[in-house]
Amino acid sequence: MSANILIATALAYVALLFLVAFVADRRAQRGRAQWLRSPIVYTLSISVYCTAWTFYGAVGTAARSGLEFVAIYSGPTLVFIGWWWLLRKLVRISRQQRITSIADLVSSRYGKSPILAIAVTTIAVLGTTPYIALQLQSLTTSFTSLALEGASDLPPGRTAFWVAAGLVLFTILFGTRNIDANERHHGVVTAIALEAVVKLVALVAVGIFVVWWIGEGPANVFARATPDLLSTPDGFGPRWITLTFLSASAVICLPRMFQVTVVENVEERHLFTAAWAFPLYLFLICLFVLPIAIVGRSVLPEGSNPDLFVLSLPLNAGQQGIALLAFIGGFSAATSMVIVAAIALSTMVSNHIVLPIWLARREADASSAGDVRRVLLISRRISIAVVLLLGYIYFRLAGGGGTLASIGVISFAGVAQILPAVLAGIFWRSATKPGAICGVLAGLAIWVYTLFLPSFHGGLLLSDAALAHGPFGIEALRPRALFGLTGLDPLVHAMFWSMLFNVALLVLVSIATGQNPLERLQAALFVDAFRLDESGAPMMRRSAASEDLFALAQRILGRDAARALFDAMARDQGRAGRLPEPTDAVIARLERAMAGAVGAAPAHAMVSRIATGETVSMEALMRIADETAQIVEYSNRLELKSRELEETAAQLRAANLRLQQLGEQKDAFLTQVSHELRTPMTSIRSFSEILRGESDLEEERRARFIAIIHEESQRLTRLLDEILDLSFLESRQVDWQLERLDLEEIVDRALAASEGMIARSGIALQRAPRQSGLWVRAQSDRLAQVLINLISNAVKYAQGEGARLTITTGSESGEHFVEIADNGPGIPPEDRSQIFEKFARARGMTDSRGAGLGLPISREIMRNLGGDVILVPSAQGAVFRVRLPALAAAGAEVPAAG
Amino acid sequence: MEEAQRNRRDRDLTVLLPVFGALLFLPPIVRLFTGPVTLFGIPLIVLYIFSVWALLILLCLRLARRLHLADPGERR
Repeated sequence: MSANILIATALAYVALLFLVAFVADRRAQRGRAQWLRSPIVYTLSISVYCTAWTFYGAVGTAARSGLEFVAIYSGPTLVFIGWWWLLRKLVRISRQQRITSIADLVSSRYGKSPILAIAVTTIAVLGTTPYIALQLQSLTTSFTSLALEGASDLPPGRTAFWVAAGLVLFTILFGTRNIDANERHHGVVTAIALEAVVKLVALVAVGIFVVWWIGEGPANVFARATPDLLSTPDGFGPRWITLTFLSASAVICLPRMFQVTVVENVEERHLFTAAWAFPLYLFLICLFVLPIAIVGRSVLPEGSNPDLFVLSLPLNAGQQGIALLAFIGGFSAATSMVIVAAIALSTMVSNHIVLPIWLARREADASSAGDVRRVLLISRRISIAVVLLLGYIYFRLAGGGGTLASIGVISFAGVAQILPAVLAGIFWRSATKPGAICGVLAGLAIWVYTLFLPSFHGGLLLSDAALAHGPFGIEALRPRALFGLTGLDPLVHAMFWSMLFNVALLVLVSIATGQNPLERLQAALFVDAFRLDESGAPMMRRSAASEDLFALAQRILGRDAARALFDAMARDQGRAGRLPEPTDAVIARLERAMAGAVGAAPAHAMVSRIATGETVSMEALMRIADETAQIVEYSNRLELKSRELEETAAQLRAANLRLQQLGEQKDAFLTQVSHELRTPMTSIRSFSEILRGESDLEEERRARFIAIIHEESQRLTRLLDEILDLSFLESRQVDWQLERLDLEEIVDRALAASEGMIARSGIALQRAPRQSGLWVRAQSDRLAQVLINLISNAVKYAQGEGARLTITTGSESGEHFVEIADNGPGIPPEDRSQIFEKFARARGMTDSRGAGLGLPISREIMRNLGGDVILVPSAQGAVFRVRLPALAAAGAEVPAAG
Repeated sequence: MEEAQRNRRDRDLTVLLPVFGALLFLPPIVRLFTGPVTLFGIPLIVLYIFSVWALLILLCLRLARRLHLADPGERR
């Protein structure tokens, strides 16, 4: 096949891509891109994972090490069928935060840290450069092996250079036409989807041709396999596990994969389709790899390059058409990867390296610092060229050496160093910026030392001697046997050490360090992405002026987009036609919109430049503190509850104690009552027995006995009356007719009634001068009963020579009172609290008449009248005071008792 | 009620699917199939790997379809 035909075909194909990309872009601009946004296009664009490394290299790996190539595809399969817990969250977070790249994601999570953004960008560039070189190499080798005639006068370097130049042109044309607010490239994505179809069709066509044309059916194909191919001694060992892990992490962390899977995702629900469709795509790609490898090994002459079996098998069979299709398939695979990778990398480089430097040099005033948009576009275009140039340089340096697979694996291992920071960032709230920086840098350093530099075979920094015996002859630092760890596959060795240090430092440093408020806010927004609504935005208060913000937005987003955004925001605030108030919501929305163009960290930096400083608003702090506050409030509530419970329990205990006491009192009362009843009953019974039994009793004794019986039964009746009276009084259901009384008159009545008793005992009565106007409201008989009771008590207890009874009346603080004092032995202090209890006959003296119910009855009467009887502390004898509320002097009508 | 329960079961299965897949793809289980046995002329290990792969894709398809239908927020 002539080189000219090849070049013409390739150019025609590229022209088709241009056309597709152009049409798609136009339709997207007119908003008629519905079919472009289908989940199928999304899935196909994700298959940019399958590069020339897959197209040619998978067969090469299969020819060398059997099924090992499958590990490169089983990892992504596992990630995608497990989309629910990782990809879904990444997409959700990126939509909420307007993430533009993997570097932006990591930096944004860890407090919009510029250092992390630069570190991740560096890893991405270092990891992608070999990968781009790999595409250039496969393009070149496929071209030279196919164009047999022209191969001699076309040095591989020149071919690679022109291919690279062409790719730069395409990428700049469609990748940087505009700086979309969402960083989405409809044209490129559509072209990539087309390329995905082409490479799948090409590989499947070659596979069908090989299996059923050359190989005569699958069974015959596998019959050709040499026994060593599928039974490699180390198959499915540590290297298999490591490769599965690496490919799984690569499908998340590779800049181009993040770009198509997360950034270019138009709708989250597209994941529902991609979750199974992308693994299916990989499955179909892999289906024919092993048969092609087996047939290639058996058919093609010894020494043929296994990486080119896809091309050389149809050529060998004389099928030029299929060979050309295979070439276009490989061309598709390589170009799509380079285009997407260049776009992703240029975004990262210009957002996280060029723009911050440019901003720092324009320190003075961000709002009058020229057109940021133009700077961004230019820096992106230059970045694309630089990225491809780096790939070309790597290709010339590591040139041709090394199989395709080993180069790809080095890339994978490099970007895998980002994975711990990403996973910790979205699942572990306490992961801190210093932790992430230490982990990423340590992983990067070990990867460079143990895998990246050795891949140059002594060509870069590390000499052959250093590779074999360690730098400066230090054996412990041999790059392929670090710390003396030997016997491992170089890849497993490098991954073990880099991941160990990466994860360990991330975790340990995170535990040892703290987060600043912005970082804590971002951590909460990332980890709880599903719990936040769409408006869950960072709320930094800045005293930004609307005009300045508008000027800034114009330069970043372009005039029309900025105008549309500000109009929408003003409408939302009900200020149509004017600039919106710079509220938190507006600033957050603007910052997110700008983050879509320049990345979170620069957007944040620029907006906060216009605003005054980096101050976090009270609201933001409150939000951060909210969680803590909730916990505190909760525990406070718990405390309150438990205190209430304790109080209730104490009250219950008290009530229980009171009940017990009451129960005991009731028992004691019953005992007392039965005892009191028993005495008269006994005498009544015994005397009546005597009367009945002895008929010849003389009249005198008989009369005396009958008198005793009579007296005892009277006493019994009195006792029962008193008990009934007391319980009646205690029930507080008295219905007395109250009247207006003069206290002195009642005292007179009581004294008159007790006159005989006083005279009999010989006690001296002393009465204080009469007071006038001691009006009270009471029931005269009951009040007199109380006074009589107290007088009789005094008479009873104050006996002997010099006994004296003193009665005083008076009024004090709205109450009138009568005091009845005697000079008897008084009441011992220990009994004072009990004298008003039932049957509590104080002073150790027995009341021959009463049953000890006099004082309790008196107190109940007074309480029913609204007053009280109390024992007044005194130096000698007992002093009882009867008190009642005072009534107005005279004439006032007495209301009925209520 | 029943639908919510089924939905939750589907989500649990979706979360478990990659664990299940990793178990089948990684040693020691995958090593059980590396013997020199062929089925219809195709080595057992090749059949095993691709069958597991196809099975995972089918399960994922089924679960994703069901979750998609049950997702009220996304269905427009």
